[in-house]
Amino acid sequence: MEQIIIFLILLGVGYFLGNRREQKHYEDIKRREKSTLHVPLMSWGAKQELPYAHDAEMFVGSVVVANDYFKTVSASLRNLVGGRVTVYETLLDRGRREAMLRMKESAMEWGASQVINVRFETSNIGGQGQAAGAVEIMAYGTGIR
Amino acid sequence: MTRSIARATSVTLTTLEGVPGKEIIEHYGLVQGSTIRAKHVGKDILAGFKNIVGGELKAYTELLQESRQEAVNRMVMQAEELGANAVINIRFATSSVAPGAAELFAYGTAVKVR
Amino acid sequence: MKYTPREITSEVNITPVHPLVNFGYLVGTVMATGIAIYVGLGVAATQIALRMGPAMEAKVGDAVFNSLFAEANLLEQDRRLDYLRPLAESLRSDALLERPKLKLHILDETIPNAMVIPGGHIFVTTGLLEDLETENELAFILSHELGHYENRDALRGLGRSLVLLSLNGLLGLSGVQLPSVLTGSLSLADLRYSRDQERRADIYAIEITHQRYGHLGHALGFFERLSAEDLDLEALARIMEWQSTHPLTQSRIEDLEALAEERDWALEGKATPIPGGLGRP
Repeated sequence: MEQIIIFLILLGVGYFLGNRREQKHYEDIKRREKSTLHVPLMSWGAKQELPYAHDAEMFVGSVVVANDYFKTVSASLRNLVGGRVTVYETLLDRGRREAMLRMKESAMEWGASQVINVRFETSNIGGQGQAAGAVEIMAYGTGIR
Repeated sequence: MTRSIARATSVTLTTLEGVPGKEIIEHYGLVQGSTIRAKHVGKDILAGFKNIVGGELKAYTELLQESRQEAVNRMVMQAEELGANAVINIRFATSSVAPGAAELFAYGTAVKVR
Repeated sequence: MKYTPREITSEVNITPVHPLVNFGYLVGTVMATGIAIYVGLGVAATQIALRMGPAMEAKVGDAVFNSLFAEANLLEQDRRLDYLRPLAESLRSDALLERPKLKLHILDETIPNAMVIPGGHIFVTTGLLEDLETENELAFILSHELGHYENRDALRGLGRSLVLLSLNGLLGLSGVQLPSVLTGSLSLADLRYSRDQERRADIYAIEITHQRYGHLGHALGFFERLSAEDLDLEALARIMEWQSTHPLTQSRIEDLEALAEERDWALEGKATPIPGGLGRP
């Protein structure tokens, strides 16, 4: 009986706190995206001539994000039923945008005017056993100035 | 089974650094589309049996194909919002983010060509 | 080419569904499917119990035997089996010809008991053999068990596990073996029968007994002794053990006597003795 109560408490904490933190994070991301909009990110550029570039340097932004308990339980139920796992969409979207922003911000600090040839990598950092642990998202590209 | 992965849209998709025969006049930055899907437990069990026989896991192939289609569609939606008519240098990334769920991620640069 | 910075405001990568609605939908679907499977298994089990063929029943019987009696002390070399086996055969009705053959086993156990499991395995305990005084009683008890066997009561009692057991049997017939964890664990409690099933087995038993001896004298002797016993602790334990698998009350004896009177069957008659004494191996 206590296990059910603990489970429900964790679910509640996960839902309420997790939702609030997620919203705060999104506001932060959107604010930073707006302020860094003037520096372009491109996924191409490897085969272009870049006559205006004096310096180039690689920049990597990475973040490890994990889901709250409520979302993890929803995801395992979704595994039984099938279809789109909506609870992970926000997690990965947040992670990707955060990683991109970190890369962009470190490039801008260096003085880059644009970041070209941007690539992404995502991997599953395991938790114990089969439970979903955390996800690491990495964005890397070349800053030009 | 093979059809163009882009839905009927005016946005050109390429994996090249530009659109052949056209000139890039404006670019808008990175666009991304992603989706995460899980197949239901019945197909999982059947796939487990396939482990004994070997061969193509049709259920999972289907799953990933649908996901890829959806990811590309979402990326094109972002490009359209920016006013682009082509997305160049598209790359895909597949990863497993949780047991049983696969994430399909497509990204490219939105540009206007003429 | 020039760069035109524009903001992407539409969250295309997120499906706009409220997490609680999503959660509720998932929980609802999983529960509904679970209930459907549970009910479906129940229906399937009843149908299988009624229609099972002898080869499949033998396989199920083997699985139950291994599950319940693999560790039990069975006296397979006992000379008493030479007497019990022909007796059981002689009590077998023609309807049982299509079912798996009867297999008698003696269980080394002081509490008197008798039971039958699918596949035709009949068990009697040494405690029962020591208690018996006439062949009529033994015939009644054996026919009672044969009654349960013919009515497929044990198969029905297995309930939902019957579906998995028959699946196991099907695969076993074709050579493949499912892991034993799937067949589940059985217990003697699974062999409990309803009042109705007990009554029908009783009627079956007195019919067969009457057919064999021409009268019902001494047939209920064992039970009459049991219910009349002084209630000291040891006897109480014996009765309760018997009660747990065969609730036999005074009212049941009275019901049978009333039925016998209805059919005009003699309740008195000469006792047929048990040759050689069954008390010792």
